[in-house]
Amino acid sequence: MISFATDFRALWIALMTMLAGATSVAAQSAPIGCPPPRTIYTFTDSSSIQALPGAPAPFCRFANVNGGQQVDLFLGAFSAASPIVQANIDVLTTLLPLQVGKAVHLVRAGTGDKGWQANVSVEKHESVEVPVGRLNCFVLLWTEPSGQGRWERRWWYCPSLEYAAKYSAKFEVVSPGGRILSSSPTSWELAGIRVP
Amino acid sequence: MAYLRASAILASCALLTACASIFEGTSQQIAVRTTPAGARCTFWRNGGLVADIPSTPGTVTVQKTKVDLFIVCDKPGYASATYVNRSGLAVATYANVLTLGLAWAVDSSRGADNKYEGEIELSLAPNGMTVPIEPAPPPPASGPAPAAAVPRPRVGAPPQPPAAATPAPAPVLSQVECASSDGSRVRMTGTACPAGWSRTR
Repeated sequence: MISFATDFRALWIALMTMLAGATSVAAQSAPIGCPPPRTIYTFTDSSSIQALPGAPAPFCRFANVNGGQQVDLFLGAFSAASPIVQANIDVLTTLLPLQVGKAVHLVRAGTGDKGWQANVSVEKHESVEVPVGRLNCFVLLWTEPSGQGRWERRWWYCPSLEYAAKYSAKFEVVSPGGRILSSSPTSWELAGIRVP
Repeated sequence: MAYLRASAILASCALLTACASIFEGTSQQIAVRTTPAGARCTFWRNGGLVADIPSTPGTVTVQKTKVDLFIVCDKPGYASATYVNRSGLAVATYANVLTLGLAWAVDSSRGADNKYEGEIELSLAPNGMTVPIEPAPPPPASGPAPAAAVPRPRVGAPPQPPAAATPAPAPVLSQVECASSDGSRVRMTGTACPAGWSRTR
């Protein structure tokens, strides 16, 4: 009987260890790629983008469906046209493979007192329901320091789509009385996928 | 003595254009341009709306205070972009700090940061272009189309006056339901799931 209990316990521990390992693997992204060219994503704000080939790694290239305006994005969120992204792309890529808890600090010096900084972290991994279905995504959190306010942006980056399925921003200002006042900036969700 | 000191400041400022801003008063004009134009920009302070540009480019006048001024610009089809005016920076030791205005620029929601050099210039990052969201196609018919769906002219029937022109129906695009190895399940418009996805039905 004692032997059975001991064996059972050992088996249980082994099983839990395996499960823990599986969870850890699940919370880490595979190598990041780009959506197949000509894939079109449509969003709830009535905008659409189309995947294009030709972006230098680690970026992926997209164009407006009607306008043709191009943008190269890292993780479907960070534009190559952004000076702070350009200046910190080596720092940003240390987020790969995506894993909950990873965080980086971006800094770009400006002239005089001016400067730009932001913190980017992999906040969590969650299953999110959007109009096209249910997706397992990493939540990328972008925050910017500010005197009395707080600006947070979140992208639900889904490795299976190689793009973000959801975006939201939270804007808060602390009033002199200590009351938190919020505004509701733009947010969107993925509403359509057209494959080539 | 005070009069002499003020006169000295005035005299020196007459030689230094940077000093001119000292005398601009307690309000300040802020000009906003966006690319593309036509964005709505709102100015927030202490959580309250203090100014509004309905469509850029435009200019507003705001009171100078030591409180952060947040500027949020939105245009349909583009990610919102923000600026934060941080007050109380070290540069406040300079005499013309009151006109430096927005000293702290932050990124648009797609990470495109912007600079402020006396006036605001924002490049709005596109989510995409504004196009109608494609409606979901009807479910596939299990049998022949209902006969009454479209009236058809009978053979031998007298000629009918031409019907009013109607737009050609949009081609019906098929949808596939796809699953990925990480457990995601989505509907896609197309005939097959892309690489990395398997068709569920």
